[in-house]
Amino acid sequence: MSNKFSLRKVFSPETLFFLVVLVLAICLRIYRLNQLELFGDELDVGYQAYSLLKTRKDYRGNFLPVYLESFSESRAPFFIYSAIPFVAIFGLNEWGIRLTSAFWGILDIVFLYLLVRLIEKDKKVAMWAALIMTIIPWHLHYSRAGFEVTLLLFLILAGTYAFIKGLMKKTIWFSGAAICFALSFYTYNTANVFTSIWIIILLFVFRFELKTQLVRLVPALAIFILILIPFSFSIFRGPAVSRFKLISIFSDQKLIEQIILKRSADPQNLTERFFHNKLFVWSKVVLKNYLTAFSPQFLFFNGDPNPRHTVPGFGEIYIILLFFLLSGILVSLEKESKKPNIWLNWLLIAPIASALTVGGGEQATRLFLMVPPLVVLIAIGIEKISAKIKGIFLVIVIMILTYSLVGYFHELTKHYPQEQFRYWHFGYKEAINLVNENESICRNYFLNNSHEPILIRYLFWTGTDPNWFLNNFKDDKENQTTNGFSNFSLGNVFFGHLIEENRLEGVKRILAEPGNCYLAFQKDEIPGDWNIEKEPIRGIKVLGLVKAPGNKDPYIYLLGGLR
Amino acid sequence: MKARRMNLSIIIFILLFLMSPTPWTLLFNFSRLSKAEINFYKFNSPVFISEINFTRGQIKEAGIAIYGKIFINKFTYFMKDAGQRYLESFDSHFLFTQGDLSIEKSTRNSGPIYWIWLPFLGYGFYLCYKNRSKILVFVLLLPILGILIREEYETFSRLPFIIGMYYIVGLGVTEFFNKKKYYWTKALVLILLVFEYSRFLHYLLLHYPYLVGRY
Repeated sequence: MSNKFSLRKVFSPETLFFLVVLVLAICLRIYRLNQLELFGDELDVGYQAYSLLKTRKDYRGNFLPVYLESFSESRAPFFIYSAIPFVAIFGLNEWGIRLTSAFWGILDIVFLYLLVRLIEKDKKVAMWAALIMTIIPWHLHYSRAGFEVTLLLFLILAGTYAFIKGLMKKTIWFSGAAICFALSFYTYNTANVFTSIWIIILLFVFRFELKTQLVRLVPALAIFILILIPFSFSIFRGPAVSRFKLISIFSDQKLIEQIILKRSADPQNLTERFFHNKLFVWSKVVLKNYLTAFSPQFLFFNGDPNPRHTVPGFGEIYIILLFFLLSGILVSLEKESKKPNIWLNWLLIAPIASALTVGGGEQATRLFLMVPPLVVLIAIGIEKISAKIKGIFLVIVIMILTYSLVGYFHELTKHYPQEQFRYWHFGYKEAINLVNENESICRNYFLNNSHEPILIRYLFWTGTDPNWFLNNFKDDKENQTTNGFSNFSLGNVFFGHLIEENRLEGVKRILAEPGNCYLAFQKDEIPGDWNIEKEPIRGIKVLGLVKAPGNKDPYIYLLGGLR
Repeated sequence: MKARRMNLSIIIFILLFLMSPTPWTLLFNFSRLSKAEINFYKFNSPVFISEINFTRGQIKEAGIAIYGKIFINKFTYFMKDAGQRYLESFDSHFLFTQGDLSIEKSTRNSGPIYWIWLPFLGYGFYLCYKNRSKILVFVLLLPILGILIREEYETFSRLPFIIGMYYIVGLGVTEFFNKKKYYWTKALVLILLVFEYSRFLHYLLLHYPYLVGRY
């Protein structure tokens, strides 16, 4: 009787509430998804996915690579592979790249809901958790841009869910957990530290349950090791750790300089060596970063100092939720259970990987795995308080949350694109489109490469065939000079910069040759605020102009000669 | 027994506070600091009001003017600002890393509380919460004083709070050192304390004078 299909169960208030949350999550994540231009990393993801789709090779020619080789660094592959279907359906544009993140972001919410239901055995807490994750700036922001972290979070949530299911049900769940955890290593570098510790914690927390079913873990362990074999080769060969070497505090030259400066006060004195040394400075920085991740300034007021990672003026979480977070932590600490609290443990280990990197204490991307425990603790807090104070309390909370969400979303969709466009490498899409539109006029293009690397932008926005690119591309080092323009070339396009001091003269010289076109930047080749569209330069024709959003000042010009 | 433990924790608390960077730094710059002016927080600052007007304008533009009237006014704005200033006192940068933004009130090489006391601070808070101690509420109210001064992360107005935090550290330390195990951990804590304290004195006497222009 109890297994009988029942419409009442399907349309229970919980299910309906969850569906509403899901619809809200989808709307918030896809509304005006294309309003900001794609920045460098997103373009890289897109063109790599496109290249894999068309040639089964990354754009540097490696066949189905374990780590993808980009122009500037090696990239973890899983997010890029997962973007292939989206690029195939929507093409090389904002939707093709960002829908990948939005898709994984929505699955994050689904799996958080399932996991909380499984662990807390409380539907209301699970519902609150799903709602909070849907609306907090931290998760919302990252679900709307081509960052790998929403996929990483999905793998950790799904892996944990499968692991706990495995304890109760079939062995196959353990294999699912092993696949998810192993794939997380291929998604984002934070996983190398976090997943390793997280697996140990899960094994420790559920050690009594696992004692009797160790044999069931063997196939999962085999799968885990099998998937990680190529990864371990990448570690030894370098690509898997190359990014960490770049950003880690252990290779931060500034810290070494600090030590030298301090020691130079009295170089002969041994106490200087005792108090100012690498071990001490590193430990201090790691601790500082770790604690900064929990600071109210980061979480509730200012967020990540990089405007690409946070909308300025907003924290990662709405300030109103602070009270619920504290109450959730207290409730979790008070809970009488023989098991260590899974959310508190998660919260404590989540910032470790980021703490090892320069500026890692406020780097919202690397700290993204803090989101689920924070959200669940907030949900526990809300549920606890709302159980005590009913009625008006809930109305007030929902009103304030609505206000916070509307205020944040208004800022995100209206003012943020106007004010922070430079952080999203604005202008290149329109500029490359100008290049496309003027193909009939221009025989050779000279593209200024000294602001942001323009090659990947050119490839992406022109939709260059990856097969053609692989056959024609030699190197992206500026190893030749044409008309005083140090460059590397691809077909009839020269990427580089003018050598001489007087750039405008250089531009004039290049454009004196018929058929040459030049992509110039305001305040670089075009001095000061000179609007050469309104006050033209002799011998130069403005073929197209990209204006800055907001004040509509000239930003990038496509210039041609008059002859 | 309980009274003895209480006395012990008070002695430890006083000792810990006297060893902390704050009294030493303030004494070091006493002559300068005694002449410093106190700037109180102004509730009707023009900056404050123009920010309110600007935000209200944005909200009106978005077509939700009623929300602007309810949520953006002097009271709510002050509450948000006050909340932010209140929480500054608990910021790890202030407590452990750098302390006051003014070089005369902090060496900027460490905050008012040594790193080594962090676990004991957490433990002390946990003990207070477990015992439903009123001192916890009192300590949590003390950062309100910091809101009244215009400078952010200011030490003088937060001195009672820092003392309160040391009291909680003292509780944690006393409880931990009264346990009859963890000998190695206790020894390690003492070694680290000596290291932290000597590091602070080394910095205060050798490097800090250059920063405050004493040489």
